[in-house]
Amino acid sequence: MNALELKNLTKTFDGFTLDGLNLTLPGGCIMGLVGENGAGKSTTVKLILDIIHKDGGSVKVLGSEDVGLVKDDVGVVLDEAGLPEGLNAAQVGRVMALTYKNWDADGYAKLIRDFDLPEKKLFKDFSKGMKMKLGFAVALSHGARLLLLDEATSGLDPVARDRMLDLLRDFVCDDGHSVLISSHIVSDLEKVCDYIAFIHKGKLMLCEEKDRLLEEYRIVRCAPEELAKIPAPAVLHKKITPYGAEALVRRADVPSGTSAGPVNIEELFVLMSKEAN
Amino acid sequence: MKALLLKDWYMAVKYCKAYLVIVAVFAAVAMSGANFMYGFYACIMAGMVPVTLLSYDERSKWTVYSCALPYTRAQLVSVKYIVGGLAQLAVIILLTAIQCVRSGFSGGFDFGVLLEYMSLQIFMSCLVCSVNLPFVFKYGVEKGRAWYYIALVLVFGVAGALAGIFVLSDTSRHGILGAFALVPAIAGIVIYALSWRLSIRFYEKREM
Repeated sequence: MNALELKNLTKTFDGFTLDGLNLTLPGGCIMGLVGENGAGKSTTVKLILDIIHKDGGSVKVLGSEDVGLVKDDVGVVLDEAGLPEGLNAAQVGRVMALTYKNWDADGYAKLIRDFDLPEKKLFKDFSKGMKMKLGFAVALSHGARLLLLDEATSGLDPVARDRMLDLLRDFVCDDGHSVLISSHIVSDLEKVCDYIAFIHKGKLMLCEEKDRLLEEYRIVRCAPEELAKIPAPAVLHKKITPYGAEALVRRADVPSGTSAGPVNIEELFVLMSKEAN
Repeated sequence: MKALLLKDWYMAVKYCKAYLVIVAVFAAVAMSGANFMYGFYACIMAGMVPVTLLSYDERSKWTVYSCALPYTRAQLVSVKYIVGGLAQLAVIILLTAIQCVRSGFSGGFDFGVLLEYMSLQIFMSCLVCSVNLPFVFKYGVEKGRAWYYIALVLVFGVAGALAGIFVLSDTSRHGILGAFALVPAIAGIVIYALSWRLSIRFYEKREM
């Protein structure tokens, strides 16, 4: 079963349109949602959760068109964790125990200890990183089958980010568990994601298996005269400076003998965004 | 719903202690017999508790996050009306007890007058929440703030007018509503129920 199916999802605000987004997240996978600020990542997550209402299209979450019916099975961490500022971690746990049918109090307590979060300190006095960790602890403690994470690793130090990525890997080890994660920190997504979706100005530029993307595209760094020898359709983006040329190319279209190096997701994202601009 | 009530209880204990002090001061002044209006002020303060809780919710982005949790929008609205109702009930019970003690001391206990006071206090309490909450749920606390102050001035004006009528007619001894003593309470509760329903409708359409 697909964890998420977005078909022709449309939402218009003043000055922005999420334009007919089609996205499918298969069960058991992690999908990274990449895009510039204002590209529509948070809008997409909010539409999935019905925090904002769609203008058109359809959203299916864990097989249900009514997300309200499956919210018990969806763990959410938003860019600002959003927990009540006057509560401490222990009180949050008590509130969530009454919120979720499958609340795992022991698992929550273990995560609080693992994350080194103080039980009695108020949420408002937490650092940004601590807030996100508490959000993660809640999202991972109620037997969710799908995690929706919107910029959830921002504000975390590299060690904490790495720990979160490990948790996500562990999470998807369980059969049928899936994750949709949006982030500016593309290197994080590259580490854990099975699929990468690029959104640019409200439009989906591509959605592809990460390994296939890395296989399909290459970076050519050469003199401008050499770049001119590559057929134009093969070049997706190029940058020519007095010091040389750099181009994103389709591997299959590059003439044999051309030296082309591997591309990482961050380079791919930056170059494709520039091309689209 | 239990989860939301527990969360608001924690928040109220943390952030609404000042209201408790203000209500106690108003209630004490009302007991001294200085001015009947102070009793109404205590009711108004109780009615402001839900808006205060909502402003904290909005500041911490709970209003957004809570929509991603397994609560319905109707539950998110209803909890504020329930909290408001409980706060108002507590204040009215306190004021009624004070009124009983006061009239006991002065030797002029009159059940009709007591009923009338209670009825008007219920009306005032309900009015505060009823005029404020739908706008706050529709526009948010920040955008709805202008309306919030207008509504407060309106409610304080009504409180002043009612108190004036009572002072002028010396109702510490004789009620003025007679057989219609319960009409303000019933009107207040009806307005509260309509406001509750309107807030749910607004909140279900609102985009966070």
